[in-house]
Amino acid sequence: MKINSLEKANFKGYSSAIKRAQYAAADKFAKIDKIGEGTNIALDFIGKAVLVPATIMVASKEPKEKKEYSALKNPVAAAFQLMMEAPILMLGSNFIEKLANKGKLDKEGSNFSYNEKLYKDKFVESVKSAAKEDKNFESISGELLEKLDKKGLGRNLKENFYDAIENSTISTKETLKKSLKEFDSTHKRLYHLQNRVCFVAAIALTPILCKAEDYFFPKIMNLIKHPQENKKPKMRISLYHFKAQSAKGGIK
Amino acid sequence: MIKPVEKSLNKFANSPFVKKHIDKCIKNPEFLTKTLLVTSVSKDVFAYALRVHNTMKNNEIPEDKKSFVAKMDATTGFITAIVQISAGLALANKKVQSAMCKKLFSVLDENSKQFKQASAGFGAVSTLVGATVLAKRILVPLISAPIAGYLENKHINNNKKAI
Repeated sequence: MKINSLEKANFKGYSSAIKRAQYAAADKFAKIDKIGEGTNIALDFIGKAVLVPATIMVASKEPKEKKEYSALKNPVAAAFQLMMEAPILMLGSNFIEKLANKGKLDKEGSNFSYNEKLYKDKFVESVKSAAKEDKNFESISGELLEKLDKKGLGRNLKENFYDAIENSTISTKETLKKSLKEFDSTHKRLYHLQNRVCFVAAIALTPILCKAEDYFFPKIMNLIKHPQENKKPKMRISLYHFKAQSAKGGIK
Repeated sequence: MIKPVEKSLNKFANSPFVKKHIDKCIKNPEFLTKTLLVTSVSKDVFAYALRVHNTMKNNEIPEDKKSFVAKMDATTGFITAIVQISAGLALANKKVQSAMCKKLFSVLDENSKQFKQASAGFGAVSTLVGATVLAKRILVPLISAPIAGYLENKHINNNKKAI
């Protein structure tokens, strides 16, 4: 679905630039499909690492030294948070996906499934068998299935599948649509489950994050604020001392 | 090790509350946005509560400063939660969203599928950016800095009086 392709040619001048921007914005927002904990983590990081230091430096009336310390504290804390939450989300999501695709998260006799692979395989099978009826559908669905394998099911791809099914001459249109709907629902259920479990894990690991921050933060701040003091002093030695040490067996 | 984790995850995933919640997240984009807002706020509230608890238990902090440090953390946590939730709910409000989307996507027909999809995407992004980036990271420091200054001065004055 490409919204900004509509009547694009008729737009000229200043007002047309605004209209084009509106179509482009609508197109971008319509494509937004997966908003979850990943978005929250990214926004939190940007805010803490960039906006808070900028706000402190511009608006705070504290002495410069104190202001700089507060401003620096936030990007360091943001980096800690990112290093903790991003792996939890990625590794946790992978672990849950593997369990779900083995059927370990489904309850016997329940329709509420998280097994995305099962519904994906069913849908792909149905598409392949329906493609035998219609040459045109065969080539379009082949391309779409390739995209599905590479990128997974997104809103755009789902719309394209529905369009391809609707415009075909196959006899199993309704069955295919139902199969796609089931696959999409399972895909979304799994996504939201991954998000909620990773949120619970992030909350449970907050005490460790706080401890790590308390331990490492003063050390990092010390390194940033006083880099010279932390460097090891260079060894200075006179020629006389060097000769004396060499006679004793060398400088250790 | 994995078996008990599997069992607990299965129980969690199939509990009526989680099933109902996930169903609602899929069907209602506004509910999903509010859920993400609540998860973001609750992480902050928990972290601040933990800091207050750790301060009160920390024997290295002198007794007279302990309650001051804890009060500062509690105040910042409270302001963060209130500002973020208020900004998020105000932005997620149907009337506010509808007015913004009508202006922003005025080139599209309001009843079209494209308008609805673009509005849903904009609703989620604007609420989260407004609450977690603008409100939490710009408004909160601007509000909490003078309050922290006031509490600090009060603490210093009280100490002077005590001496």
